[in-house]
Amino acid sequence: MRVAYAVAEAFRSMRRIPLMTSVAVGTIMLSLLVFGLFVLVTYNVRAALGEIRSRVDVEAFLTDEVQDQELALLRGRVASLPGVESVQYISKEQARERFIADYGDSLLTLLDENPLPASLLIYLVEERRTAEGAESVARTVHGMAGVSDVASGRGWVGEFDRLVVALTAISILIGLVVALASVFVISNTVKLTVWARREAIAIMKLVGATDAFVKLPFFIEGTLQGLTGGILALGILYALYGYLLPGLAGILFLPPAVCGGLVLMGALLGGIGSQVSLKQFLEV
Amino acid sequence: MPLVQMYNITKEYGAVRVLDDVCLELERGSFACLTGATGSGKSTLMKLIYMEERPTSGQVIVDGVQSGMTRRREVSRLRRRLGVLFQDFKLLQERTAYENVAFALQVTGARGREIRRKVTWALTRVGLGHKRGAYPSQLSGGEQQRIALARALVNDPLLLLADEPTGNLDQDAGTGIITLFRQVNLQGTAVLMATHNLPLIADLPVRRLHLHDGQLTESAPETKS
Repeated sequence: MRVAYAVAEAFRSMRRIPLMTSVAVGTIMLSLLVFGLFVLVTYNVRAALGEIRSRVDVEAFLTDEVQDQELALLRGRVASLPGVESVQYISKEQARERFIADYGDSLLTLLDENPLPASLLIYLVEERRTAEGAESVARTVHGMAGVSDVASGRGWVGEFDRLVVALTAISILIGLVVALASVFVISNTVKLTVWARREAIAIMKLVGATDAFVKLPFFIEGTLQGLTGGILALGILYALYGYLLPGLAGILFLPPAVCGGLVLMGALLGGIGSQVSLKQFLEV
Repeated sequence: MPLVQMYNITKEYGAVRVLDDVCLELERGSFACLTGATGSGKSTLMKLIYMEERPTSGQVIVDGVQSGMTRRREVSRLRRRLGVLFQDFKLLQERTAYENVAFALQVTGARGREIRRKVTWALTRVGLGHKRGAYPSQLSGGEQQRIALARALVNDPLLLLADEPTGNLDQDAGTGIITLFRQVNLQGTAVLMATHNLPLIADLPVRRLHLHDGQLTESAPETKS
């Protein structure tokens, strides 16, 4: 009975003051839309980083003097290093073919012999595909006999890591600002609604309503407004994704759990915001 | 044990002392009128009983609930055992007569069937069963007061507190309200009525309490010779 009454009261209030309801829903929607956009960007950058990291490897260039037996030994030693997933041997001839495939054969035809060294392409296990992981393996391999030089993509991976950390921090900051702003605006919107109903609240208190009984309809109202704002924000975000970004291949939409989280965040903000401003009107 | 006990009550608003060392006991099922000039503290005394206000010093005990040590939830429960009638009625304009009365039961968590039964009974009791669908703006002052009375009575209260209940009514409507109070009182509900309409209560054989300069005095009811 109590919950049914509170739900009926919440809808009655929203119908009675549709402008305030629209303002509350609109505020939450805009706040969550801005937040959602940043989450979308961060999510895609992180996804891109994951894809790029899968390509992080280390290449050890070998001296021409390395014989088959030494090569087998070296390959075994590298493969047994911690963090190494697999090792692929690229012979001088294969290196030449790769070079021609990438850059054409005009340069190589000028030379009498193949200047490209044979190499070991070292693939790392997933958790070591970071700047530090690649650096550590490269340093160890560099000191081995038969290795003339080592290359790894640690430089740009490090840059990318820093970018993702910065973007994540910005997203969290925006999330906090959005949360605070939403609670502030919703609590003020509710304060207007409460002000309009202060006499009803006073009468409720005087006929014996508990604080919880008075608060419940406002909580339901705020939560419903937040939920609506969250769903609308998600819808607009999806529409933007679908209609404005089709040219950007490979951009992913937020996974269902994050979408649910965004809507839930709206409901939570609405619910909390509705309670912040009620206290002073309950002192009857 | 008396229903209402007030011991050495002082109430101050800033530097203004409204009640000064007031003592009062109201028995269950009793009827008392509280008179005094405007601003003499009648409303404050009422508010102390339904605990909208707390005393600056002294203690109020209503049906065992003590003003000094009571939590808000207990105050809410106490108010469900009291009926309060205001001079300005305090009806919700966007609700019908029926809904206004039902409101007092909804806050107690009563079930739908119980609400329908009790609201119908309360409206019939005040003689307005046929106006259940009317909004306050469609009712006269006397009718609005009777709707407010139905709301105050719907929980079958131990005590009816009426603050200037006839202040906005003409003589006939005022007399009708007093008659209703007497019926309510005869059925066991204690009544405390604040008024400055002395002619209206002249013939009532009830306790007379008088507030003046923050002091409470009592006089015997007038008897017709």
